[in-house]
Amino acid sequence: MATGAETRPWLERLGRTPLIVAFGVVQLLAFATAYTVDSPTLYAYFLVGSVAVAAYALDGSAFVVGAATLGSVLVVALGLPLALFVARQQPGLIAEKALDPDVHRVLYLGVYGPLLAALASLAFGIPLARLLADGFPGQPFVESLVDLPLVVPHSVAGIIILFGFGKGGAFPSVSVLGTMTGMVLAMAFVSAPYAVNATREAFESIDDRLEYASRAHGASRFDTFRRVTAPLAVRGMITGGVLAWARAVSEFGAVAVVAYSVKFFYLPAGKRVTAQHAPVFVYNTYLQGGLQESGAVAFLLLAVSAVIFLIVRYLTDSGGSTGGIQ
Amino acid sequence: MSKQRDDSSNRSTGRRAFLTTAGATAAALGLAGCMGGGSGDATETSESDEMDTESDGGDSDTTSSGMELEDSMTIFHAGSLAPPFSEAEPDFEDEFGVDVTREAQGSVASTQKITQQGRSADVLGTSDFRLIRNRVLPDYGDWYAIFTTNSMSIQYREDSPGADEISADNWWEVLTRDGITIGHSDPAVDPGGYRAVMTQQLGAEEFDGERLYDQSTYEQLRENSTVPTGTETNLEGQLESGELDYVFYYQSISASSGLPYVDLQPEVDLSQATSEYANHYAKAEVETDSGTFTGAPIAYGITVPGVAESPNAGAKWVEYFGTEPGRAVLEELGLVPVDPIVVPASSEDAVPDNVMSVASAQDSLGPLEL
Repeated sequence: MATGAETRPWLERLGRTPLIVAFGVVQLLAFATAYTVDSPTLYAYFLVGSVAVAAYALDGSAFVVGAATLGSVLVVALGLPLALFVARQQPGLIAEKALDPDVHRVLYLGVYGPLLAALASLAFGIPLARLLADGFPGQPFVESLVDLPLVVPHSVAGIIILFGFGKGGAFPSVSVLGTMTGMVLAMAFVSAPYAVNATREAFESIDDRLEYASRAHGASRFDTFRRVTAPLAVRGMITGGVLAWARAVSEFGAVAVVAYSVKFFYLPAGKRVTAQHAPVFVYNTYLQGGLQESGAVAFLLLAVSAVIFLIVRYLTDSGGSTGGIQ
Repeated sequence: MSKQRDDSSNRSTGRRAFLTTAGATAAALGLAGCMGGGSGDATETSESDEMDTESDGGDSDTTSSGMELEDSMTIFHAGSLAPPFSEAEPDFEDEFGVDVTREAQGSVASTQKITQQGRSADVLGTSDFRLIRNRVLPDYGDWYAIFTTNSMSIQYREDSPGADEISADNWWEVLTRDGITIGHSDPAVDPGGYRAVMTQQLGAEEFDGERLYDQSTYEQLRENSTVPTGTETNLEGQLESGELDYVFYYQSISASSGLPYVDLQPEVDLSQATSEYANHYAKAEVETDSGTFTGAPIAYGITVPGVAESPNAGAKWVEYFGTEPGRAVLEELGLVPVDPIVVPASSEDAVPDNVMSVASAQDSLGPLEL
């Protein structure tokens, strides 16, 4: 039984990277073929089959082959629509949209607004996550409250924000309708649970004894947090921030109700301009110009998001891995 | 060791807490159904069994014209048609034994579901018949009918600034005061949006030698106006939350909401489908990113798309709104039924027989070319 877990000798000689590249190239070719003969269904079967074969060749144990096959079904469900979406794009239309200054503003706002929301969620979410990880009286109630936005329908979330912070609610002097404040509030409402929960998990996975040791050596609670706990949990914080950011980028319902079009300071032009959050803009493009045009804008948003994801992943992989005690 | 136990107990309380939350939120979801306005797509299937006998009787009626109704049908329609359509749905289902499913969305989005997404519906109802004429015909349908009109109105809260003074005779004076926020939907994506701008424009245009206000008042109205939403469905919530003081939308929405509203002059409310008024409405022109729109009476269009799976049931629905029970529902909910319903003469041959029997074929509706 244990043989399955051992690395096969021929695999040792070949190395992993060429194998991964070869597998990727085969998948790409298979997808291109299936797409050109207009039957993407075939590729779905091919992907599941090829994963099963690869799992058998690499490992051979029934468990791994079974797990890989079942897992690949989910990958098909998530990846195939995306691959088809990308394949259907018209390069000319994408280039045209990529050069459109209106689209630039939308992409700027679509990255910048969520960034503010994610930073706000982290700034107030990290202290809360620290307390939740320790536990306190009434904790289940606070936990439920933090998770609640996950299940509130998003257009309702927008109305909740309007009633809570609108002219009839708290802070009537702060304008939320159609402002950056409103947009960030709406985004934070739907994305904060991700920031809090991911950070909290990171705090919970730290061995308590490290904190005791630090305190026993005379460090204050602030110092312990700054020098021991926070550095150990930093990857969780970044994960939480990225999740919150991504959630805010994709938010449509709440933003469409609170901040349909937003006035904000646009750095490249050096003045205040009005634009719409990217998903709202994509939907309006669909209503005005149809599926192809809105697809092109959505593709650009997807590309920008993917690049940011990769950058963050790269930075945290190299920088965060030391993450220990200095 | 103790740390581990701690963790697992922590996690299980987390899970329990989540379940509690989910339970509590079921109520919130229910609330969402109410607030979603037109999106409550309740279908009543339970009654279809006992209605079979009745619908057979009904069928013998219709088989004389060679039509057999299908068991179920789908309707895509404008949000502003949600109140009359949901009101008519149970009666229609009882009478004809057809299970009706409705999807309410903006008029443009509803049209695009058929023309862009390749979806099939048995009835398409839009708040501007020109959407069907220009986008659905000829590829996705052969005819359409104009079956109702609507009018623009101004809705407000009891505590909106100036609410105690506003009336049909001074609304422009109240709405141009400093610090008033007027909301309407986006003219580029929603007919309700460009019609709101048209209403504001028409007040500054002479009708019968008089106009309600001058150009500078119109400019002040525009100054006070904001576009806080794509489609009108969000406006009521934004008004109630206090972010907006006055909103422009259809009287059918104002009348079914609990809030007060101003019933506007016919020369600005776009409700009159006569030549005299239509010529006046045509003076309004709204430029948007998606084209220029010219003022016209608010004429709702309805059709059975060519891609319908239950075309007979669809035609029955259109016929229903061309007859007394349908008209009564429209009137009750603040719309103005067109009697008889109008189909374009050019496509008369394509109109189903049962619809034609309650319709009149015309070349134009006032100055509106069909």
